[in-house]
Amino acid sequence: MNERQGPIFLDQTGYRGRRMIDALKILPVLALFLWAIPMLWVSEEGNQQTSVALIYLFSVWAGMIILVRILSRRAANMPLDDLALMRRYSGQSSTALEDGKGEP
Amino acid sequence: MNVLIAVSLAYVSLLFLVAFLAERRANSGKSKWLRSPWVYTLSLSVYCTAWTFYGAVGYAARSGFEFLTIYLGPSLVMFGWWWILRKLVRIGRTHRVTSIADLISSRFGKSNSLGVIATILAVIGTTPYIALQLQSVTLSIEVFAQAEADPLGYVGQRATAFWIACGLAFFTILFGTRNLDANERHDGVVIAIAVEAVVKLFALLAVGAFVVWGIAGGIGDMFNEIDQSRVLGHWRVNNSRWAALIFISAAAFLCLPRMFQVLVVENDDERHLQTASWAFPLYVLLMSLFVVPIAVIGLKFLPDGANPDLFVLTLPLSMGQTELAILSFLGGFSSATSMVVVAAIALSTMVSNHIVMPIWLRFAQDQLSMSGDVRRVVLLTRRISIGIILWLGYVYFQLSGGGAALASIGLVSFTGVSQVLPAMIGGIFWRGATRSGAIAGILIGFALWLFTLFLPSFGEGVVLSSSVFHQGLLGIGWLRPYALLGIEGLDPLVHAIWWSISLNTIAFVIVSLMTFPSPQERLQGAQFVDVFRHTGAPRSWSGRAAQAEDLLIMAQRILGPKEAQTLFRGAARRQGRDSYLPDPSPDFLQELERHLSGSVGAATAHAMVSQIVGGASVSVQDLMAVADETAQMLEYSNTLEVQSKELERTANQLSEANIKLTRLSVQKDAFLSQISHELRTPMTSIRAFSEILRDAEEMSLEQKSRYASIIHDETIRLTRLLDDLLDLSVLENGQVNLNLSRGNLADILERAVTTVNPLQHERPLDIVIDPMAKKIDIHSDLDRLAQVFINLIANAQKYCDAPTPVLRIDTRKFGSLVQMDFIDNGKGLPEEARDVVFEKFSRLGENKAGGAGLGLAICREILTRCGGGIGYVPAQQGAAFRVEFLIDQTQSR
Repeated sequence: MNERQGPIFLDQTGYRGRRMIDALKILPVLALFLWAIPMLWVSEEGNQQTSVALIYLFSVWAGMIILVRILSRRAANMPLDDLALMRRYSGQSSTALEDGKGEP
Repeated sequence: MNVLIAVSLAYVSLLFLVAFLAERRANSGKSKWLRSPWVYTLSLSVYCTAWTFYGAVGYAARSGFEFLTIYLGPSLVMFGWWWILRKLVRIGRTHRVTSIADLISSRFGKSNSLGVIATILAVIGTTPYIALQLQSVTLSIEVFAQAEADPLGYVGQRATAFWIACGLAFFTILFGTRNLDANERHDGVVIAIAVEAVVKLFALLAVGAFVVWGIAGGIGDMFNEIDQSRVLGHWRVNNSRWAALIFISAAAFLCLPRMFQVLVVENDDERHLQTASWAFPLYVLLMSLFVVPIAVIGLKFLPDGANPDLFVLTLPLSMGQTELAILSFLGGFSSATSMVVVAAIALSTMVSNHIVMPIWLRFAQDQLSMSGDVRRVVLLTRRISIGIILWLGYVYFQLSGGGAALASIGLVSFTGVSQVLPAMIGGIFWRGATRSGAIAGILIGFALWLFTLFLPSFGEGVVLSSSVFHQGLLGIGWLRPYALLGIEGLDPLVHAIWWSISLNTIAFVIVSLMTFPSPQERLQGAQFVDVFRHTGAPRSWSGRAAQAEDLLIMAQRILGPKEAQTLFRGAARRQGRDSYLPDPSPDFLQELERHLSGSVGAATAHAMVSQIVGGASVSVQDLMAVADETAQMLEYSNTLEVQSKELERTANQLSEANIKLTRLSVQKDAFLSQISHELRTPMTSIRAFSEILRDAEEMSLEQKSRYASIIHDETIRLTRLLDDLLDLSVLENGQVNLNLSRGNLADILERAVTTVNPLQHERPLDIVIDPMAKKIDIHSDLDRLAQVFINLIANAQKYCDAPTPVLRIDTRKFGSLVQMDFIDNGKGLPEEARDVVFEKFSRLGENKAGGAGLGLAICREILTRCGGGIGYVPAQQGAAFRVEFLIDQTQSR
């Protein structure tokens, strides 16, 4: 059965989706780290120009917004919770209406 | 000035109109577009108050770039929506949480005390903030008044603030307490807030654009201006404050009552969070984009003493841009009013739900007839609370003098409301969090906040004396408000945040670990922490029609199709709809529950209805109520079963008794007929012969003597019969007393034999007595026993039909009894006679030997009284009677 030349790894979309969710989870940590850097700028006179600082901060801000936008888009197809995740991967459909039952 | 007033009034009318239209559309169910993710995101802008609009510039002009931290914190929270906000929103929707106090109280076992504490904390923390908004609006109006050289003055300012507060109260009451929505959603208010958000942003961007391009001449020039600014040219920031403020603004974003209201309570669809996660940071980014430029230009161009808080207004005004200034004023006005409205709604919900209603319910338990009463009271309470909260804000504004003290209140307020953060976060992530832990943490945090930040904020000597400031509480150096545990040199705000939050968390964790939660707490804990395991994706908004149908299906199953359909159609007609499905309004739901509870019980009905309508799992409270009801029903049916078994038994007993009574009655009738027969026979003879004697003319002496003897014999017979009857009745009634004496059995037998005197008969009975009898001494009623023996021997003499009749009397001891067998060698009794022979008046053959048939009956009674009995022994050579009696009557068994 080795006639298939493509990648052997299956369920790429599901895997991708979960990695997107992981990226989404790590994003605020990254933002926190980047925004903590201003603390490293020593506050002596003449060390750091405001304009540069402002550009830095706002760029990080805008960058984070764009990243979150992209990741949320990708994760929008993924179910928001464990229950629907399990349903999705066990072949049932995940519609908006739920039956309130616990794990299958 | 007049233009300003006109424009403001027009703007306010627009807001009212928008809110009203939105409510109308929401009620008619056509409000899909009203609940778009953009409206949700814009409603979150209520975080940006007048403190943002005006105060950020002032903050920047005074203290540099710290103002940014106020927006970096919430942005971080929104970026990290997957961690915290997603869970909060899911919990809020699943458990129908109505406020942050409700969340905390509900998580920790529906604890009312926690609800009260959180509510009080929220009110204390928010009131100064409301005063701050009133101050901003008043000052901004003052700017315009001064520009026309017509300053408001002290009285004017107070009056302005007063009327603004009244207007806000009116708007809030009108749109915030229209009706009691089970989800606590206020569609009209949310739309109005969204409109104000757009106005805010637009105004600030306009002023910013004007400053950058209108005054500075472009972006490049703007950067030059910034770098050359005396105050803001170089990056200066206190590191500890940078970190602490990012933290506290993030915490406040979650814990502020108004933020919780728009984030969780008014949330309609979880997926809106996805949009808000990037759109809201974008909004605050845009709001803060032009702050530094405005501050820099303001510092440069405006006179030195100018209030930097109002640069956003004064800059355009000073440059002659009146329209821009009016727009800017509207922006500031929007910021202030949106905050006050949402905060008032959130606080009034908390106050009515957690403070007033529990008290009222406890005192009015009996008068509570319908929930219509409760609804009216709740709405009234909310309205009064809104009025009181706004009044408190106004009073605070008056007392504080509207000075700089207010500006710093913002951060003090943030720190205060954040004291519920450990309990909230711990509650939704840690199942080991307990109520006691939450109470301990919040109280400690609250106390520390009061001591290190809130009370000192009034100034030295106002509440806390200066000696407390410098020497510490009660003179203890370690208890100084700004230097707890002697650690000096910390910025007061950072110091307060550090100590209050860390000790709060430590107390929360330690006390939670040490205490044991109640069952309700544990269940709520499991439901909250594992909320994703128990619920799926939320229902879509267009659920109303589907709900009514689901309700009909369920009702049909319980009430039956005809009754259910009649009920629904009637309700629909009353609502003015011509379909057969009514709108699931609270009134209809109540009616439906009432109907259902007749069949399945009130708790079950309520659980079923709320499951369908709420789209959420049944609450623990409901489940426990259902279990109670079921247990009661089981108990009742058990008692019913026991009762019915008893009834069965009683019926059986009654029928048995009836049978016995019938038998006895039959016996009695037989007895009476027998007696009359027995008595009549001798009487007839006596009468006949006495008539002969009387009427005979000539009679020989021999004849007379013969007739007289016959009469005599018959009377003797009668007498004997009557004696026997009396004897028997006395014996049967148990009224006879035994005449006890000692004697030898053989002697009694001899006596009996002699009395019967068999030798006189034509076929004399040969009586063989067992020699054993001589050895037995008895202590009993000897005469009665003799009577028994006489009877048996006489019977044998009468009825034994052998040519040479022999009666054998065997004796033996049998435990405490004497057992005697009287066996003759005759034919024996036929089988059908064996039981009957002991009954009264039973005789073998007709009138044989002239007995009445009572003898054996009397024997039986006597022997029973002597602790024994008599019976027929079959399969002997002839008739055999066994007699038993106690040897010693005094030692009865």
